[in-house]
Amino acid sequence: MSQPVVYAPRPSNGWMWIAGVVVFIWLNQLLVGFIIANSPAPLSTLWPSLLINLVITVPFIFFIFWSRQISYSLDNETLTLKCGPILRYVIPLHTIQNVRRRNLSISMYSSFRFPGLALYSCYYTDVGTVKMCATAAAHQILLIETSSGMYGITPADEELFVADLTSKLEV
Amino acid sequence: MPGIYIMALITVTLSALILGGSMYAMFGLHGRYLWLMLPGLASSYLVNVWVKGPVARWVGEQTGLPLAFNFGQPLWFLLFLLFLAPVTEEIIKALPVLIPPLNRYLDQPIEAVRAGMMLGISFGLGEAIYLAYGIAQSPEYAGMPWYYFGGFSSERFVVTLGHGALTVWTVYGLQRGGRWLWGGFLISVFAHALVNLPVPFFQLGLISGTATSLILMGVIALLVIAFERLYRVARGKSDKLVEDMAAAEMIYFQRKKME
Repeated sequence: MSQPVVYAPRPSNGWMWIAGVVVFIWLNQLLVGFIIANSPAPLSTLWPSLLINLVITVPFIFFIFWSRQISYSLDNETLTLKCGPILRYVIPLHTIQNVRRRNLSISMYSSFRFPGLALYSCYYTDVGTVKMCATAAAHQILLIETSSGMYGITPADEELFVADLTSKLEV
Repeated sequence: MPGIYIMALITVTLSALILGGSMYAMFGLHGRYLWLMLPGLASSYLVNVWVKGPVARWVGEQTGLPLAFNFGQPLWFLLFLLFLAPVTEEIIKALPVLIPPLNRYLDQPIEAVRAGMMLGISFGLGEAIYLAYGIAQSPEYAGMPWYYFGGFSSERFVVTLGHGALTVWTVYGLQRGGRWLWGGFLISVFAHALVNLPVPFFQLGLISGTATSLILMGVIALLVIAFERLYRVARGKSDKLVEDMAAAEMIYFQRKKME
């Protein structure tokens, strides 16, 4: 097996949305704390919401770092999409049916999608469910359709990536 | 300044940015739909002050019945109270799309669905302002600081989205015509009544405040799912999609079919 070539994704500030969610949650918590501190209610009433916010935001803080570790590696047999330790899709090249670039029409719900970042299975109103590992939510997504599903990525040097990928597919 | 106004400003700004931004992305980055967040801003005030209020008061005066949900009211009056807001609001929300030049949004089913969502959001934003005005008039709430109205903010955000998901059916019906003309409107009205139903149940003491909020959220979540389905159907029925982002597709590789 040949040494895999690793491609970086397009630069994006998508991680800032996750950071924004964390900041919003804790600002909200701060506000609740302020209200309770100025009311006759004991401060211990804050514990449940503190606990819930911790459970929600600690994974988000890790996501902020991991979401900046997206990469695509290509060897003679497979294309591997990675996002830190939290996402890994391995696509055997022989299962790839087509590769195209297009803008997608987002839906109101998805697993993990912000402007500038889309991970895991996301639903789009025009193409259905796409397994995303991309630094864009819907704009200029490289779609890789396989016999077992569709994947969406955003390599920084799309021309080079597509040339390398198609050369292996056409062998 | 009453604190509710500050929270209303935060709510309307955030709702317009988040919902407007989401729809902008969903509708293919077409800015022309964003303008539809303006025509309905005053509709809530107009329909409440000029239509719902006078009609309800007139019926109340004629019948001698109090304008509130309680077990002593006749069924027809309870139904009147329940359906007054859905009927009047669904009409006024969809009305702008019948007036030129906005009637061009009825050219294609997909445009009608998009326009319906934006008009509904517009109404919802206006309703948040109108409700804030009403709350500010109450001596009980007027002196409260803005950060006490967090519940108002989250509820209005969800309801604003709900208004959009309701109006799409009426506007889609207007575009399709035929049976859809009334069908779409009736779906909007009955779904709107369903959204409002937990409130009288709460007033009658049948469910708690928490249950009221949960049911409201649940019904609106179902409406959003229904909107997504309708959006896909409308896309399929639209023969003019040249302006869609999908038109700019670039195919790099297509595996040949085995003979």
